[in-house]
Amino acid sequence: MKRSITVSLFFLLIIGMLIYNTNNANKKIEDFFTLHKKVSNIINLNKNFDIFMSSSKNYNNYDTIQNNINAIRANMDSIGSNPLFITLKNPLLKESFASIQDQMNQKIELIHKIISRSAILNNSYRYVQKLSQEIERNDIITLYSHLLELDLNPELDVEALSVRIETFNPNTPSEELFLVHARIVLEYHNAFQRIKETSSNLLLNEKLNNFESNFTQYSVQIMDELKNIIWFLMIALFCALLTFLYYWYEMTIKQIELNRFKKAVQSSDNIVVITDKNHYITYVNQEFERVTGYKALEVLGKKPSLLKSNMQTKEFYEELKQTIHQGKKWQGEFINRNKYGNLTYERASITPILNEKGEIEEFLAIKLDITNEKETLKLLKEKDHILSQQAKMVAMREMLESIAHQWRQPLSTISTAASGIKLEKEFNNLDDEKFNELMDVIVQNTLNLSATLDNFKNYFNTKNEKTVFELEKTVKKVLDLVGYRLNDEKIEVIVNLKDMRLEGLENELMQSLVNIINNSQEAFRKSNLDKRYIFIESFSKDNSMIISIKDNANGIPQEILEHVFEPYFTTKHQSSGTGIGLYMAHEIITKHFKGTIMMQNCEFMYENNSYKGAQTIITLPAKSKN
Amino acid sequence: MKKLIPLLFFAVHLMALELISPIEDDLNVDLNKALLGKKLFMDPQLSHDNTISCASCHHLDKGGDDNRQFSVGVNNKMGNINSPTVFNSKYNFVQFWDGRAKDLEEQVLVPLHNPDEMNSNIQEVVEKLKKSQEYKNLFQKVYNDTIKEEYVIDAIVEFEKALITPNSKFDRYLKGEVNILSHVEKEGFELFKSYGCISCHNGVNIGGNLFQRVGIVKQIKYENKYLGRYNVTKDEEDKYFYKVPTLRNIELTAPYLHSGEIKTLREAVTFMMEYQIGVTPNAAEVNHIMAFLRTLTGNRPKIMEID
Repeated sequence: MKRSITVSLFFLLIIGMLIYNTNNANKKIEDFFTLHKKVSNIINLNKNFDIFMSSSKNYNNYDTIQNNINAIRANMDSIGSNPLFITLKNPLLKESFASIQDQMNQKIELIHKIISRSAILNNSYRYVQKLSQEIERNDIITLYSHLLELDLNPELDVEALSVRIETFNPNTPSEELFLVHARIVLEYHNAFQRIKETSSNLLLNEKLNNFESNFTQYSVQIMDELKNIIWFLMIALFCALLTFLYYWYEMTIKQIELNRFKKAVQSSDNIVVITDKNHYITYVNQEFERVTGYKALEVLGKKPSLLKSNMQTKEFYEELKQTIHQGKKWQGEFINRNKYGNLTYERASITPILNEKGEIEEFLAIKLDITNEKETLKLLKEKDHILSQQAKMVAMREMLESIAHQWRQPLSTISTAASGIKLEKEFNNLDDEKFNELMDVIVQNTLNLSATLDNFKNYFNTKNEKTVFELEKTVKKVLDLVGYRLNDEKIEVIVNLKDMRLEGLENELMQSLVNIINNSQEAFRKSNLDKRYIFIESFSKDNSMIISIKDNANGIPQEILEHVFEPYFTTKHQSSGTGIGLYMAHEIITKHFKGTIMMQNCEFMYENNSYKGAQTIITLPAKSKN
Repeated sequence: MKKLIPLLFFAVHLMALELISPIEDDLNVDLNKALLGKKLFMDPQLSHDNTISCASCHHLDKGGDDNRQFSVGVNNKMGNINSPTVFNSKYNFVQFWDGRAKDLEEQVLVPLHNPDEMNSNIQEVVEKLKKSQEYKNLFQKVYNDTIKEEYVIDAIVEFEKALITPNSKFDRYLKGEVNILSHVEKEGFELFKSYGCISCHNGVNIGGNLFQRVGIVKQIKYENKYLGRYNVTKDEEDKYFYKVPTLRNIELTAPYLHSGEIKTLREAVTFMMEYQIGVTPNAAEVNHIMAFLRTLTGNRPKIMEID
């Protein structure tokens, strides 16, 4: 961030410098141009002087020449007072200008003289011309033509001409006037030539041209310098631009990345809360708003403790505080209260975020709303309880039916015996032997009843104590319990068990087995088989004990097979079952015995006949030998 | 070649009209400055003893000079040269007979400081002017400043630049009123050209744009200590070279020559023809030339009508 500001400032600085320098260069170039124009003007005006001086016979309005002089003076003055020229770091150029100025003044002086002589010469030339035409005299014509030649023929013998004029003998006033003006022409022509020569000796033209070329050279040099500076600045500007673009690009990439994370945080299913080091909230995401009911604006600047439900101890919060202030990550569960007073459960982790010096800068809390899971768990527990109650009721009914069944015969025997005693007594036919025989029957049967009850008492032992028990005996107990029913329905149970010892709640295993057998019994009821078998087998395999219960009741349709262990799933008629038998068996085997239970269809051979049926396989982890 | 030369002169002759140009009608001055200058021009405080003003020797209601041979300065001191006219002096290529001031700015201080003329100096003048609230206000108004030497000079120069005499009869002729000149006047102008007066008296000021020797053809007989351009250049050749004076308003500015010894215009014309050209004109020709010269008298400067 700081770097990009620096780059931007640098960028602006270079632009500023570029503008300043370009302006400056422009002004300088303009100034140089103006000066150069003035120098050229002076050179041109000076040429006008030379043109004026070239002939002595020009008839002039001398204002023109004076204007020329004024223009030269103005140009010279404005160069001399030009700020650029004054500040030029070229003493040679200035010296040369000063000398030109000095000589120009001399030349102007000479021009003034020339003008005076030119006026006289013009006039006298006019007179000699006019008079030579008026006077018909050959020597005057000759003299006149020689005088005209003065300007044009530098090789003309001026001495000879002078002698000729002096020896000229005028006869008339006109001829005298001619002589006067001829003398003047000669005299002033000489003066004119002398002044002209002095002027050309000033070498002003050469000096001006030199000055111009030196000035041009110097200005080219200065302009090159200016150009170099501007080039340098342009390159610097380009570099700054590249750097700027580079940082801008980098920043954009970072921004995109940041936005992505921000989006992820904002729309996360987790609650995200960021606080400063003093626990004041600086950020919450949308999930926070949804779960707690508070809007971000309501909680920013406040402490997360406003969510406290007071259902957790002070020590809990103290431990949390200590952990995170040690710079460690804290993990745990909060029970909080939302805006509407409802409890929420949150599984949370709080991570301190450190700065480069290792000091805590802020805290990041990521929390998962687990209120629903908690409630589901509670519901499940309740359901489990109901299920087990129902299972107990089923077991009780089972037992009562069994007792009733097993008591029926002894009770009727007792009743018969007792009726026999009474009848024999009425007929006074009761002798002691008969009485004892019948009483023995009654006592024996009563003992049987009692034994039956004992058997069932064991079965209905609700004590939840783990014991070590033998599978064989357990199976026998089960068959005692349900055997009468199997007999009634002509189901033959073939038991083939290995000697196995198990640890756990015996009656729960019994209950499971009863439920599985009941299931087979139900299956038989639907079929019309002559021979009905239930095989109960057990064997060891790979450190596991396996109990297999299979029947020949034609098996179970595949679509039903998948759901047999689900609660309240039943194929039985509503009145005959609760649908929780196999579910109970599943729960008991998987949860209490840490084993597995599965049901599959099978085909097998028995006594040379082949049968189809369902097989339940219970796999229990092996118990150590001792 | 011999035939070419007359042709050349003929061409020049045709151009002769352009050798003289008329004065512009517009003043082209800063009027506030010029009016302040006018006040200073008339103010005797510019001389040491408060007796002489610029206008003492340059009578603005006449020809811009004093019609004396030599002017009279402070304490009635007599000068040694004839005052030239101040009218149209801005058109002169230099100032003074010997051209020792290249422009009016340089010229102003010379009579001011001359002990025979105003015998003052510019600092003294500024001090005097500062005592006057009126001047203080005027300078404040015109220059937005207190009274300073350069402002005094500038104001006087600005006024002098306003002293032009436009619309003389001849200027109107030049500007197209061809019939405004009488036959005699036109004849005079033709003689002015053909005798060659125009060689030196040309340009807008009909003179005033070159130095010329007095006595080109005939040596001057009078003794004169005033040697002209020589005083400035110290060049032997420049002896008796003087600034050619303007011929505008010439009939108003007698006496003539730098020495002021020629009293009348007729004498002056005759003198010039004799000494400068070497001819003796007849009286009729002189009359014609004089008639032409009188057409050079222009209107009184407009600035004199403005207060």
